[in-house]
Amino acid sequence: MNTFELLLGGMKVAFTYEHILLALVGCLLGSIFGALPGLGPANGVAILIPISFSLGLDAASSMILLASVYYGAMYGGRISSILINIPGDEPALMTTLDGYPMTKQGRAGEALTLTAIASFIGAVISTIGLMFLAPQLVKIALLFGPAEYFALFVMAFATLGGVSSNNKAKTAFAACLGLAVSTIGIDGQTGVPRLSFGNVHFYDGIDFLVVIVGMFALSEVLIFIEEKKDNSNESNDFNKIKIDKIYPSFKTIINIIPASLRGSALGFFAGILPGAGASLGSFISYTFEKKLSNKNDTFGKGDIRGVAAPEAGNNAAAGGAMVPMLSLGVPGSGTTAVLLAMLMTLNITPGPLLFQNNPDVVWGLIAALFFGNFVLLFLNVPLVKYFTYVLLLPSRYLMPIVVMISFVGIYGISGSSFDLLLMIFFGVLGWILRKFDIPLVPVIMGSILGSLMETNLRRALTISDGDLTYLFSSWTSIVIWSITLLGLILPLIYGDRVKKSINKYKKTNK
Amino acid sequence: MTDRSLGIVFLCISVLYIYFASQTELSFISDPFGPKKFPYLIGIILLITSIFMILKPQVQVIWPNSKKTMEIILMIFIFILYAQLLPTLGFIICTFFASTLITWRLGTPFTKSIIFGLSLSLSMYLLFSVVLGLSLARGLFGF
Repeated sequence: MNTFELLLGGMKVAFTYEHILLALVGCLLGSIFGALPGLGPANGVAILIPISFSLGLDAASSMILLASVYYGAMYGGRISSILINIPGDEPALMTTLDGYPMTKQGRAGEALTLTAIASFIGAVISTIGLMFLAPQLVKIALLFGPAEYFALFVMAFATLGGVSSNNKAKTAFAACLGLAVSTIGIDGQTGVPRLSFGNVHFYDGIDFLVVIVGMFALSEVLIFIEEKKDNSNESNDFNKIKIDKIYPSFKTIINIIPASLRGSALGFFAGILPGAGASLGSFISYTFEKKLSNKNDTFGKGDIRGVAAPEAGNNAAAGGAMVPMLSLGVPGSGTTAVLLAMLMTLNITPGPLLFQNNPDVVWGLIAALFFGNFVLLFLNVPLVKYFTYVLLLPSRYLMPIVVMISFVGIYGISGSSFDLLLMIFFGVLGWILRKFDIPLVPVIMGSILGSLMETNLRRALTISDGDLTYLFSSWTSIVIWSITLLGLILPLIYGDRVKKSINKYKKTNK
Repeated sequence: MTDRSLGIVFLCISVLYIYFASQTELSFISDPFGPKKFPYLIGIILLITSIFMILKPQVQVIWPNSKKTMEIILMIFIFILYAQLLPTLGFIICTFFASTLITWRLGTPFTKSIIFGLSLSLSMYLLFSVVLGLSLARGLFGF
């Protein structure tokens, strides 16, 4: 079957009442999560997974819901960047640079519409890219054996955080922490309890959803308490902003298209690269566009191309990041790791087998994403005014909602208060780790991928009867190990430079 | 306080981790690699990176002042109490108390918090239990 027949099949899956409704709900929730500073795509998806699992949604349905949330958050993140100069989520940081100046000039409506269009271009292009590239990657992945998969997992960890990663030792530390969590429980290969201290609750291991929700949702609340100012009246300078002239002239829209296309291409590839993710996607798109088009020194002062490029970039990166997650089962970013966790909870192992055994999930998802983008464009252009009201919801009301939904979700999975206590433990741990500047995404990836990683390693060594050289015996694995090595060495050379320029933008932003 | 202290704590944890992994009893089924070596591998990397943090601390951590610390401890206490009482008291009662307290401690006036807590617990019950059919904690009173 060719791609279009498959997509047609996917449309049959996507265009059922249930799935259309889920995509709508996902897009709406996603835009809200994205718009709210303090909640991003990863948190949003994280607190929804236990819920969708408890609701008994099947793989295709939950994937459609959660991927719509992911895409929606990528759209929504720009709203607070543009209006109040606070990025709604991390990738939207670059949008503040030209977006907020536009607001100050009274062009907020124009900025919101143009970025929505750029987001749309980025997301559609990357979904098309996903549609064509993922099956190609699957063909390669079909040749992978356990040794190659083990190498691939090591690569995912080694390249995590990409060139901008702060500190390789800390990333490795965090990853091992997550992996250590995954080793608790009965050993899948030989059936002996391991590191469970004789506690029956630990025999099943620690559900990675507990780790995810604790670290992504509860730790956020603790951070909020810490950063909260005493008796603060939350600033509502945002009330003064009027959003009028939502529809810019046709010529203006044409003007941002080249920038959006460039941003989309760069963002998509940044998304595919292991460990780069959407933040890097928007960063690369912005800096590239600035180098190319900043002839009259208009960037940073409200240039429309300066908002279009990073928005197209971060939306395209979201689609790009789905490529390795779906076709190899190796996530490159926090949000895709969380999506992967959802599939694994439903006993579906992403990777080439997903495309063979569950084509409905993959193609239904792709079709739903196309549909979702039109919904999002509609939500984010004519209805954008209503989303700005979301920003008025103070965090002191938002945070209790997040906490309660987290508890409901985790309790819904197992019905045990032991899991709730574990979730609280990981929430506190996440807070402490964040204080020490230890990234949480590797911890989460470790807890999700740990058992797969160990299984593949042990299968490979069973095949070779314990001979370790087998891990490096095929050309494919040698290539993967060399990429891993590059991923470790390159940041040592370029890391400081990239980090400095990102920090520079962060500082000017503050 | 720097990451050195975290390094010291995790140095101990990784040694304990390796020790407990070594206590794993082997079964009659076995594979060439065995269930112990993967934890050893992780434990060793954890150990090395902890030492790295001890030798080369990079972050100066600023802990919140004592008032904030109390607030955080109180919040964790509310969470734990919620987790413990949920199966007995049921969803609506627990969620009402917990969300009221949390909203209040996050800086909302107390009466407003009560109203918010009540409406949150009732609307979540309606949404999740009645509309979506999710199994929430029933408790002794059945709701």
